[in-house]
Amino acid sequence: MKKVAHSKVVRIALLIGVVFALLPGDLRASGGSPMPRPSGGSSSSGMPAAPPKTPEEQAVDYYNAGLKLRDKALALQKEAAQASNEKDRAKLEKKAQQEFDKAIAQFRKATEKNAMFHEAHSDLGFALRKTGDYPAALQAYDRALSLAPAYTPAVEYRAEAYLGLDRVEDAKQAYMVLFAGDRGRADELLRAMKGWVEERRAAPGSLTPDALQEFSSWVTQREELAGQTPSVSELQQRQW
Amino acid sequence: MVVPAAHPPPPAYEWRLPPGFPVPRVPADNPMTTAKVDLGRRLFYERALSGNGTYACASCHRQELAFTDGRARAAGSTGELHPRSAPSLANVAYGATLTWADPRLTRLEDQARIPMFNEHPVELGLFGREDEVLGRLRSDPDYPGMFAAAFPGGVASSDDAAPPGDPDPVSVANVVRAIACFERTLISGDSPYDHLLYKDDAGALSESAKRGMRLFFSERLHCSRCHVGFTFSGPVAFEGARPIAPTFHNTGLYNLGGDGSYPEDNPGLYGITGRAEDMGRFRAPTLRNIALTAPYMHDGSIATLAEVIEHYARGGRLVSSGPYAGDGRDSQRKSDLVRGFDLDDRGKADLVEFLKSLTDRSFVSDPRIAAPARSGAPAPRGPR
Repeated sequence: MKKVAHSKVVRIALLIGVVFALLPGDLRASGGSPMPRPSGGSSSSGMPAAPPKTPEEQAVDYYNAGLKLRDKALALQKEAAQASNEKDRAKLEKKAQQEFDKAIAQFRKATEKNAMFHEAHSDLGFALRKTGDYPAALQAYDRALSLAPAYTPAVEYRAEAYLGLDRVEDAKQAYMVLFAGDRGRADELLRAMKGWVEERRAAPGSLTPDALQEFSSWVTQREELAGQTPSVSELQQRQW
Repeated sequence: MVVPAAHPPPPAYEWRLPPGFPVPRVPADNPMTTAKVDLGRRLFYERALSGNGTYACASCHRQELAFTDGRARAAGSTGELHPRSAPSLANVAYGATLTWADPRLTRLEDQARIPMFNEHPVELGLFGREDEVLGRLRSDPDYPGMFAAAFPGGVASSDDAAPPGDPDPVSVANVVRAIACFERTLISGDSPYDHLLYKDDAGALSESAKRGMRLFFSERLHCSRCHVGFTFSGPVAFEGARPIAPTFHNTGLYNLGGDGSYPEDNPGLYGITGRAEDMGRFRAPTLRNIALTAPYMHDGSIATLAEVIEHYARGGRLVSSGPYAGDGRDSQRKSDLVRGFDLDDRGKADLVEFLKSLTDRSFVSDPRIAAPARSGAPAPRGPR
């Protein structure tokens, strides 16, 4: 019975993964979107009592709760970026961090209930990365990708975690994987890389100026190549 | 009544696709299987598959030349010349249309019948000799078993000469199906350019080739307007893709009589539609392996890549004398995309270097798509 329920979760997760890959970039906040419960669920009053939830169903509930908190945190961050003064910005950013912390707790519970839930591991990584805990974020992404190696949201966001740790060679490798398999994600990572270069120019990390410049040149070259190479889906949209 | 035994479906075919290449479109009535690909490969190189037993598909589509023949105009099994050159079969699985200028041909299964049965000109010369050729295949020690493995149902389709229900799988329809399956495996995507693009190998292209690449993709030269995407050609078809209308272009190669006409035996799309605006319009061929596929254009009338670039730089070809005299630059039928450009000698050389970087050496030497060894016979030296 447990196996059946779990396979349902996996099937739903796979379906969501496919749907996810088709979403435009600005809708792909962290990789995950709310999942329907695999089965069962709470009953309304007057109906026969629902059977107790399986651990997989509970995991989906925790995961969906985490996504809501994550989205709230992202909205607060967006608001913070648009704040007119530093005080408001700091206040909103602090609130966002609190929401990310709450999201982390929910995603952790989801992974505890269902250790095979790769989306939950990936979104745990996302929330951890947003709080600046890059090593823990990497662990979560690694776990997600060990369960689902082709889950490109985790490939992309793990690369952003690599950038947080100045591991540019690892980030470049991830870009190459995405360029071959998921151009939308690859483009998104390239934008993140450009942003990261600007951040590091303003606040240098462990990279030398020469190494940063070399990486910046690489990003420029890849941007040029990507611009020259329409993806398969772009070929479909093209005016011939 | 004897009910044929049910055959389990063959395992799904495992594509070996280069990065960036989608899964090719495969007709539902001819799914890919390893057995069909193996049979199709053997048939592709089979000279018994011509009326006079001298020619194979591979006679005009030689692997070492990226499945072209190195001739300006292809020659059939009787020596008769075809009006056009043999196009490369590299990535032919992705063509939204096939051949140079026929929008009706979208399936390899349909296209393969043309060289087999064409009479004007004769290519493989099978017309009227189907039974004789099938007899040759049936008497071969290998083919009956290979056909049976590839087509375990055995039955020929309704468009075949065999009566419905005929259990003999050695049929023209199955020959065509097998060859089409093999042709779909002729996938080329391992050139130095691909190494730069997908393996991040910055040294894969010379500095000259990199400059040429920028020119190729530039708005000024506009080469990539027609030679685009993973095939460096026109519209593509692949699994799950919506159909894209085929495109054909008049590049100003001829302007006979000043009215945009092309030679009578090569009018392009006009030959199918009869519409004046389609005069001289041909499909943009793939530029992959282009350094191996000289001479160029639909009729092989340009010998080198450097001359092709001169043609496009000029915005049309000037034929100053002879029966084809005329200035293609002034053709009223020429595509607006062929507008000419200024490029110095270094730029032209760079562009040629880039085009050379599209050569996939592993494709032209891959033993999996080479002529197979025959049982009990020495390996053929390959078609000439």
